[in-house]
Parts: sequence; C-alpha cells; structure tokens
Amino acid sequence: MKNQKIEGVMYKSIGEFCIYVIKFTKYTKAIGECMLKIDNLKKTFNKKIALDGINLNVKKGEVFGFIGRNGAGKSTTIKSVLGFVFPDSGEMFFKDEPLDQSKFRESIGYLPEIAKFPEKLTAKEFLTYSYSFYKKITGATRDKISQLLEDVGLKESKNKLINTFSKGMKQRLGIAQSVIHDPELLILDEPFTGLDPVGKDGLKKILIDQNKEGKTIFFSSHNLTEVQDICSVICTLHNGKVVYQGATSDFIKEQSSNSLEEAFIKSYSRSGGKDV
Amino acid sequence: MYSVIKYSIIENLRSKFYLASIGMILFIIWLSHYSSQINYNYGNYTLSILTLGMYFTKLILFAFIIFLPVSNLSQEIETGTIYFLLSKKLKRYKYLAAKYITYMILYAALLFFAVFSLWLLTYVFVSKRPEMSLKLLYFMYSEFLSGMMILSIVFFIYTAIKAQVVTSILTAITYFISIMLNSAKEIAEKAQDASVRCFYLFLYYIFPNFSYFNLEKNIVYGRAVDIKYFFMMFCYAAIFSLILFIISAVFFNSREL
Repeated sequence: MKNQKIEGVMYKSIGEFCIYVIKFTKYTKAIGECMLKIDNLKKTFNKKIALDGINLNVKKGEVFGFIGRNGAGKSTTIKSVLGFVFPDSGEMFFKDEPLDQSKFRESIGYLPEIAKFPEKLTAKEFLTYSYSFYKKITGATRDKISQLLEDVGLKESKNKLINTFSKGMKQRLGIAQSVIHDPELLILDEPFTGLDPVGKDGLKKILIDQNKEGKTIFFSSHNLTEVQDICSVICTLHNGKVVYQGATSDFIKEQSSNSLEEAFIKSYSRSGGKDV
Repeated sequence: MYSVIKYSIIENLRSKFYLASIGMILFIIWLSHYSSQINYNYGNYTLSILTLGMYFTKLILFAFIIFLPVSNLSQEIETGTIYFLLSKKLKRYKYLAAKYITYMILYAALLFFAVFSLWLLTYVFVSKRPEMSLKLLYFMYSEFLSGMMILSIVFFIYTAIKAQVVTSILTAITYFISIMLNSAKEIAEKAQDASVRCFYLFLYYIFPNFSYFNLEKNIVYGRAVDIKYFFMMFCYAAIFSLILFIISAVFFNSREL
C-alpha cells in the first residue's frame, strides 16, 4: 500500500517534470524561432538588378528595421514576400517552412507604402471589411473594432469617410487594419513616410505596444531616427544587396558613429555609394 | 469574396460616377420622349418612344459597363488599394470574380432603373399599352446577357494589356465588329478571293456575335420570342463569359503588381 503511494507520487513528479521540460524547450525554442527567412532572393526588372541575392532572417519577437536608400530594393523584397512580385530565384520560409502564401497571409498584417484604402468607406466600415477576410463578424468583433479605433486615436472619426482623413489618420487606420486579426508578423512598408513629428511619435508608440503584445515587426524605412528608437535588429540594403544584418547598436559601433543616420551614411559611402 | 462584393457596391454607390449614370438614364428617357415628338416615324407614339429609349439606354449602359470597371480596376492597381486587398486571405481569381459580380449587380440595377423609367413613360404616363410591359422584360434580359459578355471582354483585355484607355477603345472596337458579324459572313460567302473569305470567316468565328441579343424589333412590334431562343442566348453568353473570365484570371494570376 505504502509502495503504491510512493510510486504514485513518483509518477506524478516525473509527469510534472516532463511537462516542465516540454514547456522549457518550447520557450527556449520560441526565443530564437525564425519567423521569416529569405535565402538568396534575386529579381531583375528589364535587365536592371533590383535584388541581388538577398538573405534575411527575422526572428520571433524582434522589431526588425529594413533600411536603405530609395530604390535599394526594400519594397521589391516586401512585395516578393507577399507574392505581388515574382522573384527570379531564391527561397522564402515562414516559421521554418517554405512560404505558402495562403497560410502566410493568415498570419501577417501588412501596411503598404502608400496607404490607399477604399476612400468611400468609413473607418469603421473599413475595419469591418478588413476583419471579414479572416473571421465572421459578430457582436464581439464590433466591440473589438471600437476598441482598436480607440487605441489608434480614431474613435471620434469612426463614421467619417476615409477620403476626409489626414495622412497621419490614414496611417493609423492602416496600422489598425493590419493588426485587426491579431497576426504574428507585421510587415510595414515605410510607415513613417509623410508623417509630422507628432504623428511619427504616435505611430512609434503603437508599434512598441504591438511588439510588447508579442508581435514580430518587420518594417522598411528611411526615417533612421525612428528605426534607431524602436528597432533591436536592422538590415541595411545597398544596390539590392544586404550590407549588414545584426543589432542596431553594433552597427553604430562598427561604423564609429553616434547615430544610425551617421552610421548608415558612412556605410553607404564605404560600399561604393552607387545609385541603383 | 462576399465582403469584397458588398463593400465594392457600397463604394460605387457613393461615387459620383454611379449617380451621374442614373442622371444620364433620366436624361435619355426624357430625350427619347422629346425626340419621339420630333421624329414621329412609327405612326405610334409609344413605339417611337420605345425605339429611341432602348437605343439611348443601350448607349449609356454600354459606356457604363466599359468605363466603370476599367477606371475602377486601374485605379485600385495604380493607387495601391489592391495591395491592401491581396495581402489579406483573398486569392486573385476570387478578387476578380468578386469585382465581376459587383459590376454586374450595379449594371443590372442601372438596367432595371432604365427599363422601369421607360415603362413608366410608355405605359403609365403617355399611352397605356399593357403588352409593352412584358416585352420590355425581353430588353432587360438581352441587355443583361450582352452586358455580361462585354464585361468579360473588358476583363480579358484589361488583364492582358494593363492599359486603361486602350482597353476601352479595344472593347468598343470588338463590340462594333461583333454586331456586324452577320454582314461579315455574307461578305465571306460572296467573296471570290480566298484570303478575303478567310479573313471574314475568321472574324465571324473568333468574335462573339452580339446580333443574337438584338431583340428590339420583336419588342417594338410585339413579336413573341421562343423560350428555346432565350435559353440559347443564356448558354451562349454564359459559356463565352466563363471562358473569357478563366483566361482573364490566368492572366491576372501571372501578373506582377
């Protein structure tokens, strides 16, 4: 009888131990889990090389800044990932599996470079529209939409047509539509372009909050002050080639600079400084 | 797909283009009434209004079914709205199908409005001809089917060449060739030269024959149309539109945005 009791306790302890091991393994795996990986991506437009063997590795939980001059290949990379542009060669992986567009789109939120949304819809209608691609609209969805509009500071304008919105309001609405279905990865193409300092600050706060909620953020930008403020990891692109990928602070140190902007200019000059 | 249809309809109904089209329909109904007073050819006031009304309505609907999709689709692609839509869980062919259904619904609503206005003018206000009410349904049916075919031609040309103005011009040219196909066949039968005969026969077989959808004479003179003919019209339009839509979807799928 006593032995049975001891065995029972022992089995229970072993069981609990195993669960801890599994949980710990999952946790350690999640820290470095690869969210998006790009291998040797190449793309040419009319004999002009846009992407010349891009390699990228975005890990789970990172705020990843994708920086480069105009025409460096940032938007082409993003469009290739989203299937808008067809790369000539290379491989893409999402969570360590070959990228399958239909599954991938369920797990991402995207904000295009020029946030042009259906202008004749109201903010509320637009978010309902965005949500309807993923799940059925219920009463809870309506509450979620109202909450999201409040979070991005558009509660007062929820019934106004989008064509009456300022650039900053459209950008905040764009962020709201990209996070509405609770994606794991946010892909933002130049989210700070055209925003005034207050707008930039507001957007920065939203992105930091989203990252705290566990979302991985991948964004392209040439607003390097913002990138330095919020990105833990950066990737610099020159003439369709990756010049650096790693911690933002390491890049600044490597270039013996005080800011990311200064470091980027130095790095650009050293890499030849040719225009694409 | 359903939500794309729903919100595209809402958007279009709020646009000036649709309101302008409704305004144009009212104008042409008035114009047909006015013109029938000047040009009293048929010896019957109602028939005169109907003939002119249907003719003008066809012109407006033709312009509508070409310009609305072309401007709308190209605007979505050029301004980047399409990036927002296609980054969601929506396949490209479904996007195209949703847009096709949207334009057909808007077209059908406009067609109904035009036919209803004509019916009011001919039956209620001007001369009471109850038999005309039913005949106007022939017009609605044939115009709906030809609209379906024109829209599929628009989609086909637009997805193939990606140019707004050229798409409109080519669709118009295709339509005008298509309504004269019976003449092309006659020329081919009479032609002595083999190359001329081949050219006209090629036109006859490659272009859709829109003359099948011309029921105006039957409507104006109150001639009945066989139910089998209606069925044949439907099959012809449906098969043609489906084939062209599938080709358009293949083009659109292989297109970089």
